[in-house]
Amino acid sequence: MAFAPPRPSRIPKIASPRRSVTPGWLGLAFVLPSVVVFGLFLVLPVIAVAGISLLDWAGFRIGDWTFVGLDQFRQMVGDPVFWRSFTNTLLFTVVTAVVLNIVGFAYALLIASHVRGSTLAKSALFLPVLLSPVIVALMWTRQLDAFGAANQLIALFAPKAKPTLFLGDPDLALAGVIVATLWQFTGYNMLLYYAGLQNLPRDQLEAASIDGAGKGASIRHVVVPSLYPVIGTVLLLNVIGGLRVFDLVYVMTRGGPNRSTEVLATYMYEQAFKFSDMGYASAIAMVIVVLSISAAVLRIRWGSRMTEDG
Amino acid sequence: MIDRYTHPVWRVTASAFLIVSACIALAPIIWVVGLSLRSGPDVYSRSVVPKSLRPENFLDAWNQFGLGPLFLNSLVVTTVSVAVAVTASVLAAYGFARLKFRGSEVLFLVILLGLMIPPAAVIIPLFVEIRALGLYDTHIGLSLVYVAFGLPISILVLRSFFAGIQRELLEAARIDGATEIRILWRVVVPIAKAPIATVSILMFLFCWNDFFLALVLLRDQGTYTLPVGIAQFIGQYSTPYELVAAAVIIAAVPVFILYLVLHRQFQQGVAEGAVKQ
Amino acid sequence: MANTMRSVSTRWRRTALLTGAVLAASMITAPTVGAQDPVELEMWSWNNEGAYPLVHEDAIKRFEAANPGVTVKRGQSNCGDACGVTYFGYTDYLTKFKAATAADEPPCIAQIPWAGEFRDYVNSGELVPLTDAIPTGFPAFFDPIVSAVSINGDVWAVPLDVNTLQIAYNKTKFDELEIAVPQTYAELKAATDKLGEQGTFGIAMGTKDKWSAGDLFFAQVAYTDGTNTKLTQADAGEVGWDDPAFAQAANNVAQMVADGVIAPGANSMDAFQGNLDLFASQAAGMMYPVGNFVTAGVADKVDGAFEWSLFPFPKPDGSTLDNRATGGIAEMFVVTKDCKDPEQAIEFLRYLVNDEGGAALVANDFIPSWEYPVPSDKSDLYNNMVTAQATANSRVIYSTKVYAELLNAMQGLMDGEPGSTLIDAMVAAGAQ
Repeated sequence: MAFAPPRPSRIPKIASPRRSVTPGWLGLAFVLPSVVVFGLFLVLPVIAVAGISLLDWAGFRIGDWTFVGLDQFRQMVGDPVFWRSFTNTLLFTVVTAVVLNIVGFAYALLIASHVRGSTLAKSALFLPVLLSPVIVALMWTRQLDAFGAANQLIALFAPKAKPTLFLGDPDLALAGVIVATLWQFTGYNMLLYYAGLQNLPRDQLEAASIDGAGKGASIRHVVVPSLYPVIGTVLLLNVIGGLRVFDLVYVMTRGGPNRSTEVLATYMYEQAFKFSDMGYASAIAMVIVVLSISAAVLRIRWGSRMTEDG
Repeated sequence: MIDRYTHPVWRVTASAFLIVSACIALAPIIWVVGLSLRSGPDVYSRSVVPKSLRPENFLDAWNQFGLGPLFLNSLVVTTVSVAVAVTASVLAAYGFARLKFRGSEVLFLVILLGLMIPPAAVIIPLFVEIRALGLYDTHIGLSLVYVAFGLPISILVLRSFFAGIQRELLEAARIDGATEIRILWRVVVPIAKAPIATVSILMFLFCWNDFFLALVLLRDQGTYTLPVGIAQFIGQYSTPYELVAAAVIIAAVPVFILYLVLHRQFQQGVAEGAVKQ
Repeated sequence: MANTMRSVSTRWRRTALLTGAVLAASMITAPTVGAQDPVELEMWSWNNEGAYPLVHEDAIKRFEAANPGVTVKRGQSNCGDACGVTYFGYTDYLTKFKAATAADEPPCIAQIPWAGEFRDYVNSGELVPLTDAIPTGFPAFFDPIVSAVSINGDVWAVPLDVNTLQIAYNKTKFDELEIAVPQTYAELKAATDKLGEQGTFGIAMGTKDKWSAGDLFFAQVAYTDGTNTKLTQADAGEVGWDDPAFAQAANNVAQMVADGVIAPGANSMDAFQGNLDLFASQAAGMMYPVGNFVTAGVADKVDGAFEWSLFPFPKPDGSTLDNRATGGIAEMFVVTKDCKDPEQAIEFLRYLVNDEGGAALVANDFIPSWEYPVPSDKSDLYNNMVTAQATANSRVIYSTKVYAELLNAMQGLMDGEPGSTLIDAMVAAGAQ
């Protein structure tokens, strides 16, 4: 579950706090509890994963391993299933990130207009965010089967058509998983953009409307540029979410049919818990970690360039 | 402003579209509720409207799945994790925002990178470590892991709020001779209800819905949390789907209650923050 | 005002502290590490469905009555609270068992899959060899079954029961359309075509959860490898995974899919959720694979709407072999090395498979893994399965990677890929 930070809106922001008169150890004492837990149960495991990715280890007995250097990564380069799950992960991430951003933004604009039904839509669209991905997956497996809602809908327009078995078709299964993801997270993206819209500089918008700029033009030239930071943050959240997708795929398709929905996290899980190949599993985990961190670095770069530009 | 769309045709179209969207969003949830009330062959029937109505499913699910102890376990693990994570992250966020020290920026950045790490990616060493500390199959072990994974987002949210608080407010308290911990408790926390509520809900959702970490880190039936406990009844060849659906709904009740109680603060927390990082 | 606030906040703080203390206390006491009673045996199984919990419970009662002071930890299952052993759904069971084993806290007795993982656990030294225990107090298990639980010259598991995999068919519809039980592939195809004229599919399969796709392949290997030894040899690296017997079996499967013998959409259905619906609703005339583990489920859903029975997968055209089912061990149990009382654990297993154990199995329509007289009141279906068992071929691949790739590639075949893709996948996995 990812999230964007709040910014106090009513209180004027003051530039960097003056050089602290409080001793340095005090700040350190405040952050210490967090740093200890975080270091023990997150940083240490990440370092360990990096280490294990250099080993050949069945995972049962500590010490029962051999050092193989970069062999796991070399094996990865020649492993077609790895590349399949790699491209699937990227495809899933890009599609969900782009669509969630656009659709979330569109809904935010709509409910910001406060037409009738806005409140209902805001609550209803947000509801799926509260559900566990496992439940969402079970729901959508049923909705996408031969007699589920999707085929009932198709039958409305093409009564003669044979039912489409979305999750059983290698060309459509990934799309099925993507649809379930969109369903769950559209409301969340909507809420983030809606929040962004609430914080827009009012004077700029009014100036635009006095200038006689049309609705479309004012959205394009005033709203969107002011939302660049929000877009960046929401995009990053979606990308991170996409790169680590596991539960949905695992329950909906088990990575099938024939690996057509295999993603990095499910392939890693298979290597670790089915084949007991902890070294290779850790190497795949490293790929997920590196991809996620790169996305964050890109976002920070992009963010600072936007600020420089104006 | 954007809300000045006045043309009636546009407003009606927009309303209709929003209402249809709401229905699409709700349909699968309503379907699960329907399933939880079905019985006999109706469980597998293809008809959209249930032919049977059996509220006793909820009672059966509660008894057969032993939801009582599962509920208690989930409640204990989640409450403790949320309490610890929120307390620790309020302290840390205040430290990072207001009591900067040498290296605090770097440390904060490292914690932010924690946001990028999926639990599944580190499950193997995490398991080995929990085991080595003697915390395998304990709620404390599971809670500590939840806290570690919940901290980055909590600290991020709270820190940017704390950084925006007027300096005069804090200075006044300092001149009165208040200690930093007292300032945090008496001045900062009371005005930070919205972000704290936001962080609490996110943390609650994460702990309450987690399946994977609990599956690997808990061993005995007596320690299971709800998602793991319910999963026990999904069979290889057959599954009592109507009871699973009922159990899933029962399990979701606290989440909905929490959201209903705190949704105003939650939305405000989101609203106040989506702009700047 | 300030005072009120302070007292409210003090009270609140006290409540919070109290709540915290209570929660902390319950966290310390809640986890129960089973160290209180040194002779409480723990057994894990994934068969939380059907009548298995009843069979387990029966053995526990007899064992506990004969061994005062030794108890078996009860679990929760569909036969009620505190009935049977500790259960967990199949896939999650494997994850959990692996974690518990790695933590040196596995249950004393654990159900284990007959393929893949079994050999991994043996080779990693996590199990107790049972070679010396088997001769005393255990029945004479069927020979092929004993060899299936033997690795590196030792016996590592106690097989409880066996199953056979056959095709279930809608007898009422077959009679109506005057279709005889198919003896060859040509007859199977003709039957499918005849069903198709009525708008009915052929064999309903559910391969989304993969395992049943493997059995379609093994059903062919039973004929393409008349010796019934090639799978074992390939596992040991003595013959290649591209052996003609496997290649021919893969091509047979591809041909079946091309001929429409298999109902469409198999990859979108779980075995015994989606495909049973097709069969029970008479949208499909046949269903595969069906053994005693699911006959009760089939009977439930068909609910007397039509008569049905079983026949072995028909032989390929031109084969001179007799028709034969595939099959093997259904439930089997290992004793783990970290078990504190392995002797008691083995003793419990004896109760599971003694005469009374056999009676409990048969009473619940399971087939014991040793010669056991069939009571005269058993159904035709049961007798059919016992007969088929006698000539059943095994279906085991121990190499987890080859087995996994076989299952994935079979999903491809179900989707129209040629047989060669399956062979390529197995060869590549075998080379790793």
